Amino acid sequence: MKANRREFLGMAGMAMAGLGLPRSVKSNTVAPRVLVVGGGFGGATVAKYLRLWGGNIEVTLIERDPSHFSCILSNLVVTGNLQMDDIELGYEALQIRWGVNVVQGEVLQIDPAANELTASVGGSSITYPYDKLVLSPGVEFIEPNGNYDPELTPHAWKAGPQTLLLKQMLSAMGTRQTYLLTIPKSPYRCPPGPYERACGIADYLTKKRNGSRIVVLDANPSIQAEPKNFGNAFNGLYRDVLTYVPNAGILSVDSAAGTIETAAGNFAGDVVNLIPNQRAGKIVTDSGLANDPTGRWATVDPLTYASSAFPDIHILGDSQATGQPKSGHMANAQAKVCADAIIRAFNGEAPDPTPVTASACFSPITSEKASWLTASYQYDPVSKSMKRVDASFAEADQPTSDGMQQMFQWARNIFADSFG
Amino acid sequence: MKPLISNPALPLRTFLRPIRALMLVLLALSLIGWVSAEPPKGRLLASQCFQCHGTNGQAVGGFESISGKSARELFEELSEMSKRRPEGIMDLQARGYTPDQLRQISEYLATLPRSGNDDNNGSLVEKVKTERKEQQAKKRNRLKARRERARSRKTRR
Ligand SMILES: Cc1cc2nc3c(=O)[nH]c(=O)nc-3n(C[C@H](O)[C@H](O)[C@H](O)COP(=O)(O)OP(=O)(O)OC[C@H]3O[C@@H](n4cnc5c(N)ncnc54)[C@H](O)[C@@H]3O)c2cc1C
Repeated sequence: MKANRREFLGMAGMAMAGLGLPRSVKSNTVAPRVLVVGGGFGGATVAKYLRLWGGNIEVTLIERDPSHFSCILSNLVVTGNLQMDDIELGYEALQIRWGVNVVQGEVLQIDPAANELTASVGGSSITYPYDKLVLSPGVEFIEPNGNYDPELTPHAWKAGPQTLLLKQMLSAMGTRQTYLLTIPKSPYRCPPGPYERACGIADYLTKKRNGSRIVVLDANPSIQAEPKNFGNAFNGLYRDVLTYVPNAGILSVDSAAGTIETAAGNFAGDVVNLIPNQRAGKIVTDSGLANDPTGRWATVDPLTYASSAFPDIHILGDSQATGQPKSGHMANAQAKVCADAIIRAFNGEAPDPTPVTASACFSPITSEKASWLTASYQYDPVSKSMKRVDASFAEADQPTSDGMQQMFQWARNIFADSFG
Repeated sequence: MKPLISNPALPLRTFLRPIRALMLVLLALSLIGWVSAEPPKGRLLASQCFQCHGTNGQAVGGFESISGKSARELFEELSEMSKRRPEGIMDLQARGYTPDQLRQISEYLATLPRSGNDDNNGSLVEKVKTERKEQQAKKRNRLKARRERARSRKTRR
């Protein structure tokens, strides 16, 4: 079934919304159509900014779930400091304020030659045509060897039911038990995230004082982000409850038994929080777009985020291979570069040759204090890649309560800048 | 979306039909023939501030709103942050840009409308409100005191 163009665009409503917006795209016949797949940090931001800056572009966002649960702050839900409500982000503002057509559905297949895709929407299969397609589907997990079952050994690395499952398992932990946390091989979503989770769990267990411990099995040779602050916490504050094991990549797992065989030995846990290795979202891989040398991420031009394989398909956020950190802040940053480039392309203009992107992460080290990590990236025309500006790259001197306050202020603002 | 003209049986709708048609034409006209405008200089760079300082520089809480301020002052502040010994996260963020980029950002932000919804403004409004309430209460008390003095003078007489 092909979407009736009028239904598909929600034309009158869109046009009404368009009247109040800046007139910035030249069009002599019909408005250009952009489809966005995935309503997380990358997808929501690109949809919003295409409407904010693009005027008469018709934007349709296709997202599997009725609302998005933010991974940002989700570690605090696991430890019971926040509720699921606090991290649930809806699509109402995108629809009402920005005139984005939001469709709840799952994109199953892309036909780059025909510039169309097929999605399952409410049980029927619908084909949507596009002038430009933006994919921001996040990550997919690479299943470890053995009898792996995420219901028994949750990752909670996509927020939602997995977050609640892990929270329940943590709160059901008895005395003198072991919580195993595995850290995937880089690159993975949110470099400081697993260490932040380790601190959150260690803080929780310290307060419980029931002799339970956390063992952190890192597939990498060392702490991948904020080594000073996490290192200090692991070796100081949490010395008695936390053991850090580097070079402990998973060889196989038995989820039912709660055992993991690693390059650094065998381990058993009462709660096993297994965060598997990662690759680009499934739709990216299935469409032949995961074409970097590892075959796991999508090669794109960082001036536009256009795929090196198909110029009308743009890939943002965690799925792409530019080497910039896989963070929500960064997905939002890239979405703006992409929206600007798409608008310019519709107007026959070249992309901005000097984009800058930034990443910022705040990590609670205890339930009162947080540290932060930041870096900016400039386009380098020689290597045609985004290069980190080293002078802009640092972690906080130490975790502070100010840092904790800033974390909530930052989260409120980035939630609103992406979804509001 | 339902078609705009749906039930021809209603006479009112029939009457409205030409008006609706005109509206549709106007809508269509608004969508076509727009003049290509190159994006304003500095807009893309400045949008990197919006993750923390709000869309269009209008923060929703905590952090400062940065829209509609003097370009010169913004530029001076950003330049200083990019040079001083780094302490806060902004000192590092400012180091991510060249001086020319910082200038473009400041100039673009200065063109945006000032925020009406940030906490700073909010607390300012609250402050003004409380001050006004306090002043009104003082005035009421003064009037009351004057009335009471007048009354006691009367009774004495
Ligand atoms: C515990 C944790 C803490 C984190 N903390 C921070 C932090 O402090 N700061 C920070 O910047 N980042 C943080 N992150 C990272 C951040 O969450 C991700 O980098 C960010 O969400 C990536 O954005 P994205 O758009 O690529 O993917 P996502 O935000 O995951 O969005 C992808 C969306 O696409 C949808 N989707 C996928 N495939 C399809 C399909 N075929 N059809 C329809 N819909 C589809 C999904 O349902 C999902 O809603 C954290 C992550 C974790 C796990």
